[in-house]
Amino acid sequence: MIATPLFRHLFPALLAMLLCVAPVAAQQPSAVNPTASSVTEKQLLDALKPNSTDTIAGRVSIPDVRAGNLIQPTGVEFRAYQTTTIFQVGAIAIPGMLALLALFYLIRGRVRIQGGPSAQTIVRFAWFSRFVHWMTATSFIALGLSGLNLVFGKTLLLPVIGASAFSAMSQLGKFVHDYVSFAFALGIFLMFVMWVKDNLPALRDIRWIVQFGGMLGFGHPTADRFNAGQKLMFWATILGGGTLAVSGYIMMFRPVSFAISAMQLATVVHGLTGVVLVAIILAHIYIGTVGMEGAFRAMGRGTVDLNWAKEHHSVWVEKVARKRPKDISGGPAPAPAE
Amino acid sequence: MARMKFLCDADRCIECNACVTACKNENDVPWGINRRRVVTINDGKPGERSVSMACMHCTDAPCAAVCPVDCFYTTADAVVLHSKDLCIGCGYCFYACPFGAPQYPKAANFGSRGKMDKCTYCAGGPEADNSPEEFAQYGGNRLAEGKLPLCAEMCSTKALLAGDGQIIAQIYKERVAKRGYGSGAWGWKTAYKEDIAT
Amino acid sequence: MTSFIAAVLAVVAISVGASFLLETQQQTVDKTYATSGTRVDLDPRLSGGVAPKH
Repeated sequence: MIATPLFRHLFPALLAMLLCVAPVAAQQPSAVNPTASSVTEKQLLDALKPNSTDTIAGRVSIPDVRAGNLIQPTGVEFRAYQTTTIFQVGAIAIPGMLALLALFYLIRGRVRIQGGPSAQTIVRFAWFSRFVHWMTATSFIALGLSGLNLVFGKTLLLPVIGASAFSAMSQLGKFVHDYVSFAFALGIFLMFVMWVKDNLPALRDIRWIVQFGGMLGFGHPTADRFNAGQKLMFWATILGGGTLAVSGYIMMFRPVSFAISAMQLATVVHGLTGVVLVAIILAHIYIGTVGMEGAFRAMGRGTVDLNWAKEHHSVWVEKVARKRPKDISGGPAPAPAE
Repeated sequence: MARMKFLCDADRCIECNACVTACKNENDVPWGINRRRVVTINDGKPGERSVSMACMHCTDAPCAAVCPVDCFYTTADAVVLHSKDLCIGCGYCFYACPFGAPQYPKAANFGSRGKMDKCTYCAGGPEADNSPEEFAQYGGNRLAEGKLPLCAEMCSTKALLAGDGQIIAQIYKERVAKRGYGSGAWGWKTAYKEDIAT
Repeated sequence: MTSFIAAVLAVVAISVGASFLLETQQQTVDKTYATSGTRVDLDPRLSGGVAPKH
């Protein structure tokens, strides 16, 4: 009962297969011999992958089709990146930046308000701007520390605190890194929306860069709301942070269609961008705190000393005086605008 | 001590998947995790070959090199094992491994993929040999009982060989000499930086 | 100061929220790679019976 209809279907199929395969087999003199005489692994590999970086994949009978990848040669490069490249880049960029900042402090010292503090203040950042700044900043510190731990922790921390403590810490760090990223990405997005119009390049930025913002004593170049240095910092943060977010979410969400080499690339891009951005942000932290008198209160209280503003953002002060004179307070420093 | 290796003779493998089943059963591997799998290349074409692939227990293992918490260790038998207590599930070993051996218990498309799982060469993990704790995390420990991995032991065509690298290489060489052909020891160049001249 | 404290609280809230949200979407491999199982509803031409309704 069962066999007859089956056979009726199978027999023509079998016949067709025999008829097709026989001539094909006869025409295969080149790479692979179907009668299974010598077929070396190398011959097969060369036939399967024209490029040396291609993954050699075949068919598997399990639902996870990605298990069909037999050998992926790019793992060698990923290993070189993970054990050497990222370590060296980080080890040069971060201590290098710290050394540079220390040197700058020794030579230049703290950048003072030349006119001395005035009795007047000017509103620099609204509450929401400061909120977004600190949200991005605190999440970046958490992300930076947990990220650097994955690069340098094995070398620096593991021998000190032992395997199990280090693993527990790294596990926590990984979860922090995954989940805090959302606050960081939101912060980057909001900062872009809030500040992009004040960060577009302007002609006077060239003079600012040539004179290095007057920090080494070549006069005080004019600047609008943000000077060229701040604009560079803004774009480094937006582009660097954006790159980190995109590559990071690729790593985290692992799109099914992404080949393993694409995942490796995302990891490499994420790591290198990360250590470089940490180094850049160190400079930002320096100039916003110890490096310059009167700078921190812009993000602290939201107001800055009028003399400071006139020195660093002369064009902006003129605009504020014209458009929003209420933002400039008269008498002594008012109650914190918080 | 012996230098333990796997060798898959692709000219003998008939893709019966008994090695996969043996591994699953011996080590209580959950559905969806494949410590060993059989990959068929050139499927349905002339020159079709099937290769049973798992962790090859590499010399100078890439997984161990990239692990940020250093959870891998190599036993005296040169078997590459790892500690699930230390693993943080970052996935770097999967990106470094040439053979796609590391597996993770969670697969939805985001970060927390859980502790990595891979072939242990039926040698368990860092816990006491054949203790319930060891079995729960890593599966059986046949090596401690003086037995070889079950996948190779059960192979119906003896395509998959496990054991001391020199001995299985010798067996393979004799086979090739006798039958006159052989596609080579799959993955050996990548894993052990050596090949068997045939 | 209030902006800073609010920012820290926002970071914590967003992170905890994201972790809970993502954790509900997380899936173990046995579910991800589940197959529909063995076919028992054989073609009626083979089994001689009536195909069950899907």
